[in-house]
Amino acid sequence: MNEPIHWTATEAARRIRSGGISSKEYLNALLARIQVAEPRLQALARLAGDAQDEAGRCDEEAARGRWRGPLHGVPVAIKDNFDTAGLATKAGSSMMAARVPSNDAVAVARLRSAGAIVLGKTAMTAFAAMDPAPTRNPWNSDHTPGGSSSGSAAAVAARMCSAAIGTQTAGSILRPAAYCGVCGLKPTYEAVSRAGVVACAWSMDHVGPIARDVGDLALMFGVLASRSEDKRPHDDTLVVGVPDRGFEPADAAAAEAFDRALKTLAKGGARVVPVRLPDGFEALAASGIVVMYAEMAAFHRLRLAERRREFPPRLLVLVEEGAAISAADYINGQRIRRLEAAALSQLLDGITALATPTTATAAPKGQAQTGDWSFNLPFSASGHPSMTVPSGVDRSGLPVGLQLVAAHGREDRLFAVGRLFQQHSGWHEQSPPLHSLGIH
Amino acid sequence: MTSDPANMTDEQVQRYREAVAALVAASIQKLREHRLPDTALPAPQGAVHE
Repeated sequence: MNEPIHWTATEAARRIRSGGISSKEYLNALLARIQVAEPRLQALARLAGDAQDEAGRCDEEAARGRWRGPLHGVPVAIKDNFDTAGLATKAGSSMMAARVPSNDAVAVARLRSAGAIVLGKTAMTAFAAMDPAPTRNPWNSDHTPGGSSSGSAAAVAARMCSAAIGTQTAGSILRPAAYCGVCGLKPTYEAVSRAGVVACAWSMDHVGPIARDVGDLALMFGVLASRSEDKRPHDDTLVVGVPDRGFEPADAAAAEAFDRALKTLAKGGARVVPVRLPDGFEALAASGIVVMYAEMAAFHRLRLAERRREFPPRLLVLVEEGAAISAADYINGQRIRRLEAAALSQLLDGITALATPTTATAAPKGQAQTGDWSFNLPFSASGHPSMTVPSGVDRSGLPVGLQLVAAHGREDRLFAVGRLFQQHSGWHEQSPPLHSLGIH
Repeated sequence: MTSDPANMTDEQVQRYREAVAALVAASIQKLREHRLPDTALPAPQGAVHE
């Protein structure tokens, strides 16, 4: 694990700063991995043409003792719905083929200000909806990597980069991260700017990082949100709530992994307690579905009128069904969402984090779908921060994740519970089998 | 040469449409059963906006 491609972003930044490796050398190690794994995985939409030059500039600045920030010289991959100055942003759709932004999205600009190098753009489902990207799961190429941040999760898992950014509207950061055996954070709604990000459903769109450990998620979140980590007082005892319903794993292996994860947390000193979800929790999930599809229909309305034939099939269905939702149902959906988010806040304010499986199963077989987001959607609707950490493998060796959810603005609580879990489990150190990456 | 995983046959599209329509209908029904107050809602918490 001492090869540069296995380093976390934190470790890479530390080694660059200490002079142990140059940014260019680290970039070249990642590019060598990309060269062998990308033909099989198809995680990248395109590489940035100026990454080598940027790495060279970082090295020159380092030689003069100038450091841009905590990610100085570390290449980061960007989901293809973030604007990147001078580099095409297609949001996974041929309808956006000619789009080359002149400015960076705010999230990308913050990464660059912190010293990160844009490695390239990652593959995604068209407009962050449900039509699968060509990306394969690094653990088994017969299985979906999940979506919509398919390429970001697969690239991090396959050691093409140590960190990436993605977006989540229903489950598009946590689900692919769990399916690919890495960590993902969906921060509190609007904690990270959406400016310069192609919308999916704006009142539910979140920007967040994908990485291989919780420390890197905290580092990336601090940069993306311009927030220093862990300034608040820590909870003396971490209290982890296990909900009474709605998150039952669909197979025995996923259930065993979740039970083991709870035992690991308890062994680490957390108090694991059963909690009752608010009576209206199911209505919160329903409001998320109605709001999401109605906003998707509104977002695509003009494009649909002009270019219907170019829409991929699943997006076309979602937009047409969303267009049939009445204004009254959308507005009441938003009202119920606000009420039920507040009810969920009351529960989350009294514990450190809620724990559930991230998904009902490991990554399903086949490339024609991206899996089930139903365990993630309620927290995209409520705007509470949620995070996944690898928590085991199923009987066929595919990873599963543990989802943690905290009160608004309390990402620090997610990091505290996630770090405790990592420390006592070690699942985050697992890497996909090399033959699955086309490496023999 | 692998086929584009995003492609679907007409029959698959029809089945997908039925599944999405059923999910939306069930969600709307769930919302319509939900009692909303006659008075103003509480202020948004965190950063959740309408």
